[in-house]
Amino acid sequence: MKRLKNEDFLDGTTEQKEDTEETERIFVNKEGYKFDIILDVIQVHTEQEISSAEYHAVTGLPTEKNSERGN
Amino acid sequence: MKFIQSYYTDVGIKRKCNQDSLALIKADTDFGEVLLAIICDGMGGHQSGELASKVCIKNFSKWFKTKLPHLLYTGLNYEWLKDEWHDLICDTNASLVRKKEESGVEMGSTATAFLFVKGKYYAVHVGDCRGYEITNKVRQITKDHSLVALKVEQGLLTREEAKSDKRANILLESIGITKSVNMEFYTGDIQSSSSFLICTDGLWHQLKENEIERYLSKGQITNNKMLRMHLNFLTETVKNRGEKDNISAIGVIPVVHEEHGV
Repeated sequence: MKRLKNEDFLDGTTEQKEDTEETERIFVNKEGYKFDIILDVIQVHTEQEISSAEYHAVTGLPTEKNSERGN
Repeated sequence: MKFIQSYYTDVGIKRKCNQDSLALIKADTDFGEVLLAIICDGMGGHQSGELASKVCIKNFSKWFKTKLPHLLYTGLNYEWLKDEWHDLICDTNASLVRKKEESGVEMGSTATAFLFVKGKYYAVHVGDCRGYEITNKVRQITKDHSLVALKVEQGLLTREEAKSDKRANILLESIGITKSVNMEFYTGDIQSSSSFLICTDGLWHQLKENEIERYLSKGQITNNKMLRMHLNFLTETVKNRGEKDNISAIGVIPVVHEEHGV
């Protein structure tokens, strides 16, 4: 399935594009679930990050880097 | 179920930075489309408001992509969802409080998140962003966690007086400011005529409910681009009325399929 990019989503309008952070698609269907991310728009306004360790502590989830599974 | 969705965010006429963050994430599943729409309004200097709202958004985004699939396919129910979101917000709160204690910089954020799935909406809410359902009337789903909203509830202020009250910016609940955080949950069936608006106080301060109804009713909008234009128009309207805050809004319009109902 085609994954929409922000440009598609905005139907040609490009304002605020430079502020838009688009995360990598994360494959979550390793248990056989159909769960295809078809729109993924995250609009934030800082490049500051909370540290990976802190992030893990908050969410109990893999850090950003570790969570990007292959196809 | 499918959705038309769009957003608009604007730094506004006075502030130098936009502390609002938002996300629109949609998945195609065996149950139709599932959509997460969330807006967070950050507070704090030195980019800390932007960071606080960003952390909230990223945590919800991660939750949607990694935990929701399992919940969805093992029988999503409201009680589980409330537990999940409660833990997510409490953990995010603890993280931001820790960050504040380490850095000495105050930071916090409101958060209003809506999950649209299987003909229902589920929402969690902290602060003074708002979620509205628009049918043949406009219904505010969320309750403002603000001092003036409390005074209105207590009968000490009218809604009109609350709009111009100098204490309008005082929040009673937010994420990252104190060690505990209280949140509210909402759920309901999506009606065939429903559309939804989720927005920061920068939008709703200067907007009348009949204007929301006029520009965001389901019959008015047939695609994402049109919805974005309407959100843009409402944003420009409140800027012209002198709104000084950042302004952010997400619109969601569920699309009815006759063969499947809503």
